[in-house]
Amino acid sequence: MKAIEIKNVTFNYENSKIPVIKDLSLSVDKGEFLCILGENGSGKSTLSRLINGLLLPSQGDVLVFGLNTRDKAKTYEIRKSVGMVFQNPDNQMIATIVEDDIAFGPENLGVPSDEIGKRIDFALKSVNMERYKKVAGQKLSGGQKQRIAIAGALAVMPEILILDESTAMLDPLGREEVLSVIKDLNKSGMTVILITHYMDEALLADKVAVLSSGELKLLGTPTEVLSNPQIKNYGLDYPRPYYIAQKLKENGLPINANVFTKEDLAEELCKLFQKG
Amino acid sequence: MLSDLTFGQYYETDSFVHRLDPRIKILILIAYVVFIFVARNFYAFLALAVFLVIAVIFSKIPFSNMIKSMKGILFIIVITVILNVFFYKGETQTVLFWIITKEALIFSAYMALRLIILVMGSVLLTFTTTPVALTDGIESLLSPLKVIKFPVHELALVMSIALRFIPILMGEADRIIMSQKARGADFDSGNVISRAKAMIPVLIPLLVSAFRRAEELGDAMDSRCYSSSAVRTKYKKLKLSARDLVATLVSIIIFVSVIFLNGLGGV
Repeated sequence: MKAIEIKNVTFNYENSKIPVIKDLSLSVDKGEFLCILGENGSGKSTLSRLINGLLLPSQGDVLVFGLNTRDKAKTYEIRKSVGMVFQNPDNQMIATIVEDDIAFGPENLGVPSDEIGKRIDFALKSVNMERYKKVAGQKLSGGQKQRIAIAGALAVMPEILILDESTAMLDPLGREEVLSVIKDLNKSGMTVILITHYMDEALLADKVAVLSSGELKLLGTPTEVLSNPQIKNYGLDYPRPYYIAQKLKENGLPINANVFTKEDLAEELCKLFQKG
Repeated sequence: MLSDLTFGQYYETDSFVHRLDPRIKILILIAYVVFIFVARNFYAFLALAVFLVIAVIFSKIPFSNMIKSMKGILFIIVITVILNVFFYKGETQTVLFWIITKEALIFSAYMALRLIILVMGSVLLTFTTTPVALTDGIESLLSPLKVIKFPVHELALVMSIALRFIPILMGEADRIIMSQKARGADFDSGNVISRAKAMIPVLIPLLVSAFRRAEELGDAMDSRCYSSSAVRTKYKKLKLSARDLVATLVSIIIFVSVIFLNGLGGV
């Protein structure tokens, strides 16, 4: 069974005739790491809200482990299996103290008190924040707050984690912290959907989907998608190292231009240098 | 300017007062406020002030923080004192400016003292109790009202969220004020009305942003399976301990002594 199946979904907000999502189909396997890229207003956040039933499709169906989000009786179960982390860390912390905030999800589910304690420890360990259990969330850095938000989602024990531009408001260091946590979670079997407009983050994924004006434009492996010249039509750009390598090649440097990370680019340049 | 206002902020440390059951702290504070208005003479006030000082010492909150938290209400105290000085009807001869009596001076000094220890007492509660514990305490104290279908849990949640967002919205107001100043807005000149009008470009963005935050918070709560009808559990259950008994006994001793000290004479 697929983790998520989106079947011909169209969505428009009430009082609006313009669809935000147009006839979109997409599926995600269990354990897969999908990255959704798109410029502002491409509908990527709306798509994430359709997956856990915060929004319901105007047409088409969204299935999460076979459960239809339209089925009101199953909303709870779907939200239990889909954890969501949003953009602004300040707006998703319900309680002041870290452990109380993480407890919010399990409390809602009626988990017994000592089991909640275990879940908090587990969730904090998963995001490397054990030391901050009793700290006030307000005192943490952006990256730390966002890791607490992830822990809050993990305490519900989801099988799918959706990160809706969760790195957009972070500094480079905070982004790195959060991304490394996401990578580790995916390695331990979590299905991850990362919504972003940072091209370099897409490289971490198994599969990249490009969204533009509510339509799925491109779908493939990160290197396939990121090297596709069409992405420019959708408000995106090549990753910087790839762009530089391409330009160098165009200008006659005999370089392997198929590089996507800084490290690989540096490597190629060094090789070139050694050859003389 | 706004960030100086520490009112309602939890001060993180581990102390005797921090560890008290929030219900006990709330009940003691309520009794304390009542006795602030019961106290009629200097000795009774002294007893209450000493109680407050002891509580602050046992809470490990630096006195400077307590003083800082008074800034916000300084204006109210000054206004109260001025009004009382001029309008309190005393019997003895006037001491100053033909209308101010000795009683008026004493009465307004007590009034200021009342306000100061009242606010300090409340501030001590919010300094030593996390908003979550506070609302848990209120929820627990109000829980008998569930019988008459009063939404106790919802009320507690609304309160704890409001408390959590106070510092965030204050920071935001600060930033909006700065950015409007950067665009040439003038908040400091003109009469009261034009100054109030000048605040509109601050209040509207603040309100819009508060609504946006509320929407995102709602989504985040929904995503974490919030439902008011569901059978919820509590991670931290409130339990009374020996500590709470000690605090209650000390408070009772103080309150009883206030009644006795009152007997020494009025105003």
